Amino acid sequence: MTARADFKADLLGAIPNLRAFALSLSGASDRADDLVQETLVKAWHKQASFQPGTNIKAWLFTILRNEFYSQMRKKGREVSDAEGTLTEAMAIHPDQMGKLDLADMQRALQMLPDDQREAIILIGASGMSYEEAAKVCGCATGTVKSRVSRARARLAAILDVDDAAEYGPDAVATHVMAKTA
Amino acid sequence: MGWAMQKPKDEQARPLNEMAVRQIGKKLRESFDEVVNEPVPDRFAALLDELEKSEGEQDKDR
Repeated sequence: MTARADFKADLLGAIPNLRAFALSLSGASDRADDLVQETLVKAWHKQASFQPGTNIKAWLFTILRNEFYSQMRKKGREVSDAEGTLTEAMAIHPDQMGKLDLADMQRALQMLPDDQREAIILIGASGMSYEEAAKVCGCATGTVKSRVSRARARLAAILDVDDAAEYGPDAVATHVMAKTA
Repeated sequence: MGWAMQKPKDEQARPLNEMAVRQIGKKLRESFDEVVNEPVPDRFAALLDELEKSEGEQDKDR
């Protein structure tokens, strides 16, 4: 296989992860796939700057992330809620069974400040290492760590899972089933 | 009414219990993996074919 064919195969293979990253960042599926498309075009033309054998996922995530923020800047859209002012008004409450819908998580992510959102997505959702995530975000590893812990705390507040009692129904059901079994 | 509203405002100041951290981590991974496991729309393979083709044509011109 030629280097270009290898590169193309790597890009193809990375698409599922790119789509998930784009959706988590943007919160909108139509926008997410446009972001992936832009990322693939950019990546194709930047092929020379990719070193074969290095982490292509981190390289592509960096391109997608930069594309996302540059689009946001162009649109002049302020989506971050740095002060957390919206957070309380928009708190998400799991249904009475204590179950958290996956769509709730997407909405909750959109309530985080940009820097916390990207950190928790990279570490908590995509399974990147702190070192890889720091490269993608262009910041220090320690910065990623503190953003992740702030993001977790805020998600817990938004999703109302910051109290052991919130596990009530699930935890009790498991317990009861274990007992009767 | 009333009791549920009296949760401390400064929730971020409280350390998270381990179960909350685990629950959030699990939900994050599930919501991410849900998209990862979706079939990839055809438009992306078509786009890469297109990029490859246009580059091939440029090569021929050289």
